[in-house]
Amino acid sequence: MAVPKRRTSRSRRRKRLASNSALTLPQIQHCPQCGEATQAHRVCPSCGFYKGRQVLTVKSQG
Amino acid sequence: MRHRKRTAKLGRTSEHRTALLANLVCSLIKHRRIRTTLAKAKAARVVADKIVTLGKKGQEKDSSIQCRRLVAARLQQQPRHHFAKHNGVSGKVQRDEWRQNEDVVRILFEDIAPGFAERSGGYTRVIKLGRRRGDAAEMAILEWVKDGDMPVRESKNKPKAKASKAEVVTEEVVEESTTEEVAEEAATEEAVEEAVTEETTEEVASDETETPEEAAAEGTTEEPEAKSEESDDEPKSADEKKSD
Ligand SMILES: [Zn+2]
Repeated sequence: MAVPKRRTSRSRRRKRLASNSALTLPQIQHCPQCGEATQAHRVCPSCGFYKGRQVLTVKSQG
Repeated sequence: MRHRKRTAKLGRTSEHRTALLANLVCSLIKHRRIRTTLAKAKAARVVADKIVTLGKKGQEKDSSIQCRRLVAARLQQQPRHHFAKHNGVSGKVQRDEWRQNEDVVRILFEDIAPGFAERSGGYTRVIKLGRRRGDAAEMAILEWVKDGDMPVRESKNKPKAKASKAEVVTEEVVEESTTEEVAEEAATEEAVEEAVTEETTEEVASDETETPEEAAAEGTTEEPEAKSEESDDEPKSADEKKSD
């Protein structure tokens, strides 16, 4: 059976983990209605608009 | 081997899954729009479309009863004949209220299916809402499609016509301006309907603050939405309620 000859060094391990398990941020767009940052293809969480239509009414905080 | 079988299993046994989908479609018929996870919305829209097809078939007199029975079977609806007098409200009043608000088969055949006479398929729309807090599940709204409630984008068909690149660019600019106008019109129209959307969001908001026990303790109208948000122990409580 094939067995690793050398223990993986700290550097190799960290290089592997840095690239293979890096998280990516979601793409952010700006709502054409209120200008808040939103995700694409989703209802704007701050004003409730989607494709120029009021989908939800958002409760104002406070 | 489970190859090329695309049915969404939703992590449930078949009985559990059919019960869940029936409940989701029932609450869609009753409330016109529901808020669930994206996976459940996508699974429920398949059932909803088939139910509407049956509802359209049942508009003809001679197939009406058969279609109604098929819908009732698929949505796990029991026939109700007896309404006992309860808290001073007569059985007739209760029956009329049930027919108006709870009788899913009647609502489908009389209120929903006739509106789709001109449309051949694609009766529902899924709108993504983003991820919910807690388990980061992608949430969505499932609702019936109405004519003219969303501005139509025509640009998707244009690039297939194989116009040259320069033409495509100019066309897109023109389309953007037109869609914006349509969007503004739609926004003013929707402002009138805001009251309706407010109601639904209030329901959603109140569900979030409730614990599952409280939601289960309340009336059956609250139950489907709570179910769509909670996971596994909900259908059991629904079964208990049906047996009551
Ligand atoms: Zn916005």
